[in-house]
Amino acid sequence: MIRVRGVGWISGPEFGGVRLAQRHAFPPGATLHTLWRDAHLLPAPPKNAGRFNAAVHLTCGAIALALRDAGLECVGDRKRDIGLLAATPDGCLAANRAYFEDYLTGGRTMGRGNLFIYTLPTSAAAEAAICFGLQGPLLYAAGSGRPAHALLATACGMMERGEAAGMLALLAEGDAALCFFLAEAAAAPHHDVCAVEEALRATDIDAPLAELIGNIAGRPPSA
Amino acid sequence: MKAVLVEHDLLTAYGHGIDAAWSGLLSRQTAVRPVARFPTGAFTSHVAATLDVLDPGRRDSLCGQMLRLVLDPARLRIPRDAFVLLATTVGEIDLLERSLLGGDGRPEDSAPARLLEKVCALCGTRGDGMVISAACASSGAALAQAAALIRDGRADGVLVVACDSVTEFVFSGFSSLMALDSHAARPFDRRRRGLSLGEAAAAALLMSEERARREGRRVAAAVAGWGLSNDANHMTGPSRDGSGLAAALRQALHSAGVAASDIAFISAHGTGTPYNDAMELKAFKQVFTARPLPTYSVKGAIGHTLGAAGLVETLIALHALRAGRIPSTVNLAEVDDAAAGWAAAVPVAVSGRHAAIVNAGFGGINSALVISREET
Repeated sequence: MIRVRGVGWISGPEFGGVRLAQRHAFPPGATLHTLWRDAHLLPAPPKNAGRFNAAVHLTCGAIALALRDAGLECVGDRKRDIGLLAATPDGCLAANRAYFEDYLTGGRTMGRGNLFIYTLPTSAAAEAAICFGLQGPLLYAAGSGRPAHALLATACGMMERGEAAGMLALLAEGDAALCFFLAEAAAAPHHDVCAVEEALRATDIDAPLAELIGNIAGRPPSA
Repeated sequence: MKAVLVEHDLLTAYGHGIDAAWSGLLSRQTAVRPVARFPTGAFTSHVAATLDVLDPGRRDSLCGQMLRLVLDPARLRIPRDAFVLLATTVGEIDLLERSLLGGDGRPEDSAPARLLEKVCALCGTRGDGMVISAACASSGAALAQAAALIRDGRADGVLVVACDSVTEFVFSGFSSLMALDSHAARPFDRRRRGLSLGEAAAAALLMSEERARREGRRVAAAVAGWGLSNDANHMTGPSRDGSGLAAALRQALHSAGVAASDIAFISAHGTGTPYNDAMELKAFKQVFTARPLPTYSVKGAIGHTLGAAGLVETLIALHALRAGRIPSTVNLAEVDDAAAGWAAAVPVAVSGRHAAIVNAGFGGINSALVISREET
């Protein structure tokens, strides 16, 4: 039976996890770029954090919160049979703009590789997969309606077919992100957030991400 | 529920349709040539496999122009209720170029969701769909997802559409990564130096076997199995030992219910970069241990078509299954020692019902498919 084992979220000035009912405000002056240093999310900053763009920070942050909410260690020094599905409304528009504007500013002679590597819709997820050792399927999968529901349904199907032992489903927009971690049922029911069917019902609405986060972050864990 | 492929079309630098692609491959003449679309003087390469029929000066994007040629709802008999999976890496990125160069439009027009809307409108479908992007494994992953939706009984008609174009954005980026060969790409050749970019669009309609039979469709092949994995190793380079791709291949064989010995040949990703081709051969040798399998790459011929590569290569592999021979690897002159017995500079006769198609992309994403020739 597939359960939602952890949910991490970031929304404007706050971040948290649903199972642990955690809600934190960013410390004064802190951003996702600096939060790694405070050990709120990870015991140590990811290896390549210095090159991360905003989308990668957001993606890694939400995944770290979801894994921690599920009671898993957030270190990438071992590989895991976990897949990652991600969706955003605009692909990676900000990274595309950053690359091409820099290329134009440079006289259209040479782009910067460190900007170009983030110009795929999967770039942020791929960087997160390296960070957390995720070796399952990795896709950008943006549905034409109810994107969180579509992501969860797709992730659930992959697990049912045995394509990965666990799946992360991440929706990001602007400075907000919501990440579900799905896995087989834990030994103790209170180690879950809810059944995946309940999460599918909760996301079966066409609502802005901020509203979805509000609904789900305020949701009490149910056994 | 078996997922079968019933209709398809493609557009490559060899021209429109599978016959143009097949005869181009058999001619052993590369379609990679000097780029006239934008200045390349500052880059590490000046060649790509571009389509003459595309005009960057038109209002429509390059992908849009290709898709208008490929997506003919009447010819492909696309049902209105088909779920659409759009596979692409950067889609209409030329619209962002235009906008930032001071032309018309807005950067937001290049978002993949907009292209999905256009695809659904062109196909006359209801608009249900999803953008699948997995770097250069995008359309392999989309075919896998389409087959999964059908096998799981969640859909009985799925249209997979794939496209990517040669743009200044992409060309400059690959040049900055020193990933381009100054010559046309030479997959599996010991002198290979990098890839050549190409552009293509393709479409494939998959159905449940039951629906295909009910509608009197001619079944071309079954998408019998698939495997997806991630190296979790490097943003632009593959895992050197090939273990990620080998895992995807093993999954695909298991999913298809066939043994490694049942596979007639491999359509390789074969970009022509030193690391990719070496990694692939290591993966193949981990999975196909009994003997070297006939293996080829089309990327010396039609370039690396990025998100479209998996679907284009699947359709070519299907044609090869029917023809009973695989095309040569165009531009292969001096076979790398590691590829000896696998890749060849000439077409090779093959027998069997099943073929493996593999793709790999930035971020360490791997896809493997097994397609099976159907006898109807």
